Amino acid sequence: MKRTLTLVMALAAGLLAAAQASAAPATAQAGSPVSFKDERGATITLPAKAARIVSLSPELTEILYAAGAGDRVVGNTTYCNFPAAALAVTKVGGFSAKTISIEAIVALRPDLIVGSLSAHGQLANQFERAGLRFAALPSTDFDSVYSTLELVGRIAGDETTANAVVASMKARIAAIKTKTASVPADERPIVFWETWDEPLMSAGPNTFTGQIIEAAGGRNCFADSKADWPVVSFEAVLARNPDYIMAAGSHGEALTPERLARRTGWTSLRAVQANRVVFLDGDIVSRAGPRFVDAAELMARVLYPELFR
Amino acid sequence: MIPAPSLPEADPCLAPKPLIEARGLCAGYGERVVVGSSTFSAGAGKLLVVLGPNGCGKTTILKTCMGLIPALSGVALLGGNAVASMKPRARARVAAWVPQIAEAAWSYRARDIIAQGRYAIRGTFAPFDETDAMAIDDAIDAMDAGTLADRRFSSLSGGEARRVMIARALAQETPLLVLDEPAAHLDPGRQMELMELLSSLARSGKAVAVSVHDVNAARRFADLALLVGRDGSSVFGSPDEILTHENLENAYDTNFIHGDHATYGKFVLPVSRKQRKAD
Amino acid sequence: MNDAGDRTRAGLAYGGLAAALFAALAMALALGAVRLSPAEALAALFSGAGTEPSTAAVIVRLRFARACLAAAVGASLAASGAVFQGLFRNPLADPYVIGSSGGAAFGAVLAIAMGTGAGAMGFSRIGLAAFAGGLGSTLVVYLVAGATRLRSDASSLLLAGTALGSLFSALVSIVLALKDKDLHQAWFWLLGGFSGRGLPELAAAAPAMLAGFIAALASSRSLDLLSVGDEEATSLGMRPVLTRFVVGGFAALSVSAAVALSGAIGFVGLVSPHLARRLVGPRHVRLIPAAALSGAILLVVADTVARTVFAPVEMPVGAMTALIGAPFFIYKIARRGLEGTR
Repeated sequence: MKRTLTLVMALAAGLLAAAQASAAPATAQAGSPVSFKDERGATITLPAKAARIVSLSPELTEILYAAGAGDRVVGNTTYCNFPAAALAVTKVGGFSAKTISIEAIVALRPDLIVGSLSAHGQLANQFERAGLRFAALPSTDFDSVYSTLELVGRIAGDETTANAVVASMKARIAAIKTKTASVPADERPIVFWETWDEPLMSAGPNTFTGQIIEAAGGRNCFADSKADWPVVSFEAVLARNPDYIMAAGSHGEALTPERLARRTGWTSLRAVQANRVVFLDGDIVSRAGPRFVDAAELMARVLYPELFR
Repeated sequence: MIPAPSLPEADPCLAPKPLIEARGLCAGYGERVVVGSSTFSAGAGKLLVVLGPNGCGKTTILKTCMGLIPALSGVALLGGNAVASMKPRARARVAAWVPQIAEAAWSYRARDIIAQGRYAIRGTFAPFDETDAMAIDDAIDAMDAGTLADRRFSSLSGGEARRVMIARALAQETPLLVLDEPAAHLDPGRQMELMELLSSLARSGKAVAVSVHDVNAARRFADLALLVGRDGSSVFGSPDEILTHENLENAYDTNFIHGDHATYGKFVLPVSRKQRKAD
Repeated sequence: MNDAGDRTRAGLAYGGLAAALFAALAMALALGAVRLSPAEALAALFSGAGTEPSTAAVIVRLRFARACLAAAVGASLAASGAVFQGLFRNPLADPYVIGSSGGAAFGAVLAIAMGTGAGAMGFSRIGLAAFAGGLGSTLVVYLVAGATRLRSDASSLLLAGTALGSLFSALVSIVLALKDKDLHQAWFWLLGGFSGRGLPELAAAAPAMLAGFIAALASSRSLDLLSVGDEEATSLGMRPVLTRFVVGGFAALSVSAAVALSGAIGFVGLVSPHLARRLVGPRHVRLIPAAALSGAILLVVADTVARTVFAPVEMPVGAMTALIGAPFFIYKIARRGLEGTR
């Protein structure tokens, strides 16, 4: 009887120890806690670097992969399509907060959810109530993309890799700036970015697209717009007579020469007459992720072919 | 109820073609039979009154004859043709309908309402000409509605509105006029006036079918009477044949005093409701 | 007021409306995101062809095209609104009452979600999808209403229209949730406007709108008769059910074309008939042209305001018509009561 009891207790102890061992993080990192402040100013502490991450926006997904944390992404959205590995990850929702499924996230047992404050801040309470950690990471302008990349390197990925990526991005942007420095402000080409045709919609200066245009050495046709996606009258476009019309490749069919010819008055635009209609990959132009530099370089090459060989 | 004797005009060669006719007509709504198997007819120059207690089906039987409600069984004829096989416009060339209540959705003037009567003749597209204008004016004069013509129809009193609707029916220039309780809510004097008007219309050659409440007025002016009972049965014939003591008391479930006045003629006065026999 | 006085009054009303339309068109040419002096505008309007048109000329021609669009759509919606109010004896009926706007919205949102593409027959792809959706949903409403056994076919049409409207609203929400990245484009399309549409699109929509208008005028007498109720109208010799089917069908055709052109712009079709009734009376042969003129004026003014108040950003025209139309409606109800209420 006594021997059986000892055996049972030993077995129980053994099972307990085994359970505890399996609960320990699988990473080889030393279990030192990681603490940081997110965009809301909330302090978030992780027992160790984040190992199971759910990303709620395509740009944060790209940032995670670029900072070396790609293999720790266990959930993302249907719009997270880069890099290719992101496509295979479990989807938890779409673009806006309403389409995110809390259940799906809970089922993935993440130790960190990352999203944007403006789009996903409203979900913070629900995450807390479900016992999940949420961090709002900023990516509204170039500087915030750099800082978020560095932060992600520290809390989830590889710091060295992340810092190297940031340094390279900054260098490339600086290079564009240097090469275009000699061009006076009022001689820079005016770029009209067409988001949509019916109604005619452009991009405001605070959107990422708007910032890329400026970084590439161009002038946004509607740099004075207060709205992010203003519906504009064609008159204004005509009055400002942009040098280039640019759009995402997916919007290309609306801007073929035949379609442009049918638009009343558009043939007066010098951009149309010189056929300076350029399409860029929509994902890199509007996404506040590591690839925006690619977009800026591509655009700069179009705007200043002589300067960029 | 005592079955009716045969119709007064027994000789088909002499009898004018009936303008409104029912043969074994069953009228009702869906499953519910209101009036069962009634047979009657009226030709030009005759005033037919339909009598009976409230809810017995006077309106129903008239609407069925007009083709506004489908008959449950039997045949209704207008101008000798089966109503069921006539198009609305053809029916409107034979019979003009005056409903009990009329409302216009918009602020039409009385004249516009009267002008509606010309649709049956002109159709949807043909423009109105002098004949139409004359017909409308004649109808207004006949109903003494000159002061009403340019007033809003919705602002007219019940009696005034009814005059306008009868004018519309006159403007329709049909051989048959069918009116649904036109004397309801009218003062006694105006009731008599109306019955006299209908009678004179009949004299002038129209066939007039009208449902009334007032037995006395009916007897005074009618050429033919259809008495509908609470149980849906009906009897038809001349007023003297039909409006007997027994028929009336059974139909209205009321004890009457039956009288005969030198100037007025035969009349009835209600005394009390009959006690319901236990079923 | 006698007939002659009536005719004078109507003549004055038409004259006034025509003058107001002319003034609205002139304003539409003069005002916009770009400042033009009246002299420039006038000169530009009449500048000869052949030579390279100046910027001012292009702008004025653009504004002219837009004003034509707004006037045509406004007239079309207003005439259809008058027709539906007459068909259903309901002062609150608008052009979308038997479901065309819901179907058109669904068609358009679906087309936006599936990405840009070439159109056909002069319509853009979105316009075509909206037109098909509008007609299709009206057809379904008729089928559903015919299949029910309500005594009043007017009630069954209205109920079917409401039900289908809700159904399409739900479908639109579903599509937008699945493809929520396109929210902006879809939302702005749904709010209605003339941005990005010009004379070629108007030419494509014109036959349907014209057919609808002619049918509306032709049905004037029938609509007058329907005002006293189906039963009385039948006794007067017309066929209410057939009329509602045919006339309503033509009106729906016209409305679908208008929506395909500019989205479902509200209030114009509801308010213009009431305004016109005040001016020329309820007889439809006068009401329909007067409503068309009023609608044209209202929409041209609304579009001009939409283009200028926050230039160069354009406001949705549907919001402008609501801003103008809703207070007018409230004022009218508070002061006099609606036509048709007892």
